[in-house]
Amino acid sequence: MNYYVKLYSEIESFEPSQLDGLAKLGRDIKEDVVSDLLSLHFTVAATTMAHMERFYKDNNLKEIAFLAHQFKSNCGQLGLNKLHRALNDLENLIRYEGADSEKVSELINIIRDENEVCLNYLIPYQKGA
Amino acid sequence: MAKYVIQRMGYNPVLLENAKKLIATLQSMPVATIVLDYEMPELSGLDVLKKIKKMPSLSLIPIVMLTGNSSPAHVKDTILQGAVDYIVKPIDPAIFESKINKILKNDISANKQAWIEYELSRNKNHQVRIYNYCEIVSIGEVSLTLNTNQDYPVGYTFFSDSPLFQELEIKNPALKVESSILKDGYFLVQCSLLGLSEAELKKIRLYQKLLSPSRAA
Repeated sequence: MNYYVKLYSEIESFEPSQLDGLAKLGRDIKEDVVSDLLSLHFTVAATTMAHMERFYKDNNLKEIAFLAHQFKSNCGQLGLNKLHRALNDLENLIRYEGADSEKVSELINIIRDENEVCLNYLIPYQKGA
Repeated sequence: MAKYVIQRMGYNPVLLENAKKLIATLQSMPVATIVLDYEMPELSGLDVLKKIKKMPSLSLIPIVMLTGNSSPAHVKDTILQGAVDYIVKPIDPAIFESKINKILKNDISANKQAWIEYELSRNKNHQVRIYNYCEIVSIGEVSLTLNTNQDYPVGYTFFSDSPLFQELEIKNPALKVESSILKDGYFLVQCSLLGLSEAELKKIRLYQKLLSPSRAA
């Protein structure tokens, strides 16, 4: 099934201009906002994906939806548009749209792959990388 | 993220993990505005909102819901329970700052009273359908202006079914009336846009660019 793959074909994985806005905010308050948010993201991404895989194995969709909800906002804030969209759709699919198992499976695969892609985009922005 | 923006505005943000700590803090120090997350441990943001609104000493503190959930039902429930705004994550720092600034400058208690009285008088008597002529005169990321035959009370919140939003593929947003001026027999009503996600705001930005400069908000 490639329903979401086709749906997301025009969405960019990463929008670097989002980080520019955060960098400016950081300069204004003299704090390294980008580094703080990136460090948080790397930690949260690792634990979220590990938990998501476990909950998927256990067919615990409720917890998967909760994880998707928690993780998506930070992804959006960092300009990870496709990942943000996939997490949002996964949350809505489970909570409000009947949780079709094929679609859930497709989205989990997309999220897994997209998470790896996004980490590679973000690593160069981390201080000391 | 919200914490950083509020810091930049010159305020001192206090981060609290749950409702118990929030209530304790509100009772021990003056607070200008509360920014609530919808999904929290033990009590949801909506339940916390209801709880605070029932406490006379705290009920007038403006409360903003900040959440990743953009469903119209959540927006409606939140505004009906007394939140002054509903902001969808991820936040645009400039828009968030603009909204918080406006809230801090407004006399929120007067707006809320006007909205409640208007709704109550309709429900007490009978169901009346009033068909209002509405034309969107200008639209921006945080507000739009309507030309309409109906005088809306300041603070009144409603959902717009303008075909413009269908055209932009945006779910009908909640509109909160900020001002209403009588001009040439019609009312120019300025409304805040509530509950729009970043993706939807992008569509409005693109639409603004297509408009002639004289019409863009």
